[in-house]
Amino acid sequence: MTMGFSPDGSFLRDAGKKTVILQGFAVVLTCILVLLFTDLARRYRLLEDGIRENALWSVFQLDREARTLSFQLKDIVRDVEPGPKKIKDLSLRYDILYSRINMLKDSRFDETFEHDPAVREALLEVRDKIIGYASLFDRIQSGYKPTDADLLGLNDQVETLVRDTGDFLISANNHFSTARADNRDMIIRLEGTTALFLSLLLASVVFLVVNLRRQLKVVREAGRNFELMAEELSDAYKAADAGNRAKSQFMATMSHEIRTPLNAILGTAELLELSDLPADAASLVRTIHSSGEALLEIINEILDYSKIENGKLELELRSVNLKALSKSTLEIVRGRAEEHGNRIVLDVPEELMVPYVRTDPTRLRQVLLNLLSNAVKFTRNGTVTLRLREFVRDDVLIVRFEVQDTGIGIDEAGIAKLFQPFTQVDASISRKYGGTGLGLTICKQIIDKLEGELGVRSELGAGSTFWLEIPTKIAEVISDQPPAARSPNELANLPSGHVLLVEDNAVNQQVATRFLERLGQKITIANNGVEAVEIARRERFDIILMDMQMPEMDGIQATRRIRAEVPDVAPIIAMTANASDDDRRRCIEAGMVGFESKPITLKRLRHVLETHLKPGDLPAAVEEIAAATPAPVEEADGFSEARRNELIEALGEDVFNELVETFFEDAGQIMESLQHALGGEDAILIDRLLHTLKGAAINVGLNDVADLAHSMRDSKPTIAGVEILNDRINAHRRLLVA
Amino acid sequence: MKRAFALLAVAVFAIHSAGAVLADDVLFRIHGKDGSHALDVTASMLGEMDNHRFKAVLPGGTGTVQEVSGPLVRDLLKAAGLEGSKVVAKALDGYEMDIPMSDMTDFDVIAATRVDGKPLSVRDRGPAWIVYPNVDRADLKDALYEARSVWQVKELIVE
Repeated sequence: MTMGFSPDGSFLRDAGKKTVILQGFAVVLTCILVLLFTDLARRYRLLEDGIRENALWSVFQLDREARTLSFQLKDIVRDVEPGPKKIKDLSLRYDILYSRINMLKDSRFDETFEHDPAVREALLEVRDKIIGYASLFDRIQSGYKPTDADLLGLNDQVETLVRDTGDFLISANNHFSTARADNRDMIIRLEGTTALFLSLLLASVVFLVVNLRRQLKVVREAGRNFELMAEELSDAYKAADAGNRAKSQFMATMSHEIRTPLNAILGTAELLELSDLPADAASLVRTIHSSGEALLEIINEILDYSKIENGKLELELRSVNLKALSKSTLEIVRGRAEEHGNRIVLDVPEELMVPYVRTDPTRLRQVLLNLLSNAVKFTRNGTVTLRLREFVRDDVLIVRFEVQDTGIGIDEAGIAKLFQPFTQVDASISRKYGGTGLGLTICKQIIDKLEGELGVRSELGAGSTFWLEIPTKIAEVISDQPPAARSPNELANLPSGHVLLVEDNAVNQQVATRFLERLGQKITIANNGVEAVEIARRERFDIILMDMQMPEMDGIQATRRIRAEVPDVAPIIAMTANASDDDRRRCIEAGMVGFESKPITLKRLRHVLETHLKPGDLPAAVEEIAAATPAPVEEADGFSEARRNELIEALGEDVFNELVETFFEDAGQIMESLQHALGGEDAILIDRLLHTLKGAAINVGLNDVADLAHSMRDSKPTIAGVEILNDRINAHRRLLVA
Repeated sequence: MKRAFALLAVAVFAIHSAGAVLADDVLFRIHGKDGSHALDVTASMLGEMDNHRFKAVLPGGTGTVQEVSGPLVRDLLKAAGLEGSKVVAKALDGYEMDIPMSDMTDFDVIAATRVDGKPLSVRDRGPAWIVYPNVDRADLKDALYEARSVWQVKELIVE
């Protein structure tokens, strides 16, 4: 991933710096321009200012008035006898002239000439002259008649005055012209400077715009790069995630693959332990058994963890009796606790506020079991306490469990690592105590999923207390009590008998066996009709459960043979997926006393046992059982949840999973045989295979497979039909086998 | 009577060297465009009229605030029985300026004959000076009104 970000970034910064400098420059230029403009405007105003023009006008008028006075004076001098009107006019002209010179004196006009001494001097001279005539005119105005000499003298003086005012006018004009020219030059200079600054400002604005454009381009590019990078990161993440998923999937598959042979090893070891062995061999077998169990536990944890990691952890909320759950969970670890010399204590309030809450009992039990086995594992000759409390926080009912031990304890650093996957408090722990280090991680995940909290309080050497709090809801008290609580009753009321189970299908065998074991019965299995007849001849049974369709010899035939050959035979009850009236009739004709539709349920089985283990009321039972209809099932995707729940409740999830696994193995074989049979066109074989498949499928709750198999029995099966069936089975396999 | 006038003239001269003004001398004349409704304004006539008095800065003068007094131009026009849209003010030196009649009605424009209590002589740019109250109303201190402030007024012609 080469993005070339560093050069882009530095360019962006550079451009930013340049812009800031240019902006500063533009601001400075603008300020200078404003100043220049103000100065220019001031100078223009000065140029336009009326003062100069007025001053010149005044000087001009002064000159004109002087000439007018001179002109009138000459007129009077020429006149031999000037009238008083002419004298009065002359006096008025003088007054006007006087007012002119007064104006020049009063106003700021003389200030205008202050810096030009020549002009100022001329002004003062003219003024003095004009004021000099005042005494004569004052006298004339008070009635004095001027003599010819007065007038001639005045005439001479006014003639020089006129010359002076003329000179004054010219020098004033020169003065103003120079000043105006100076000002013009200054303005032109200022205009030049302004133009220069204006062009600089323009240039900086152009630079700014260019720079901004470049910046914008870079920003756009950077944005695109970021997008690209985000995409690549997202792809990389997806790839990594996919890898992780594949790994988890692989782990799950492997665990599964390991578990199957391991179950066989464990079973074999158990059988070996039962048989007569020399002491040293027995000890070795025990080692195999215990090691196998330890291995199974580890594999189960890994399987659980990978399920959680794949997000396949699903909760199944049910009404749960917490007190019973606590008790039964504690019972499971009791044995191991005693091995370690530990006392176990159940601390549950006498009366719970809410005896039944809604939660996932399987998962909750798993967590408690994990915490309890840890407590037992790390405690020697101490006490392990399971405590249950309930309280209400923010209107929510909270259930709090505590598992307290007096064991080795954990230090703070250890606590920090505690809930991380694949870690243990320290390496020596795994050497000494074993374990995957996944247990608490799984617990944490489960409690998270239950929206609760899991925590620990511990001190090295003083023991640990693991606690969990989960919010729950009050559940209705169900009459149908949880299996844990029900088991003793089932056993208490049922007499124990010896049952012959005639069944060719492995899945069905397992289911029935588990159910019967649960109901406290002793079981013998016959894999087909021939075997059944043989065993029935040898041994005595309290009840025979007979599958209808089997290879070698079917159920009807086997029943007939047994009834014919064995005296005082046990009641034979049919178990079949064929629930037609015709089938029923044939069963009763063959001498069977009962008829059970597959899938067989624990409840039905219990009822059958209750009825037939008490001799004497057989006829009634026949009626009742014959009338019994299969329990209605809810289906989702052709898979019956109800059946699944029933099996899990009765047998546990692990056994159920094994059952499902076995079913798929069998189904694989059946499908293979079916394909062969299709080639050989062996109609009877095909029908039998489909029947077996149907029975097995219905037993594990795969109703759609059962229906499909059943429908194929009616018409002649085709290769396409078999393909569809195969697809259906494979779809379920993907869903159910992790 | 003549003696009295002579005495008065001497007295006036003694106070104002700028020249004597006799009570019956015509200061300025008001008339219509065609010469009708002519009214010669004399000092004695002014003595009988309401003289308005306010502070003003005289244009082309020292630039200081001075107290001017004289009749309102509109009163003079009323006395002459003249109406029109403008007044043409003519000065002794032949200067002429048109003043719209609205100025006379909107502002208290006077034909000032006294500045700081002293009568205006021709030498002081008298005998009459059109003055706007430009201290009370700053907006009248403007080149336009300065130009209309005609001094040495000789004639007011209503058109």
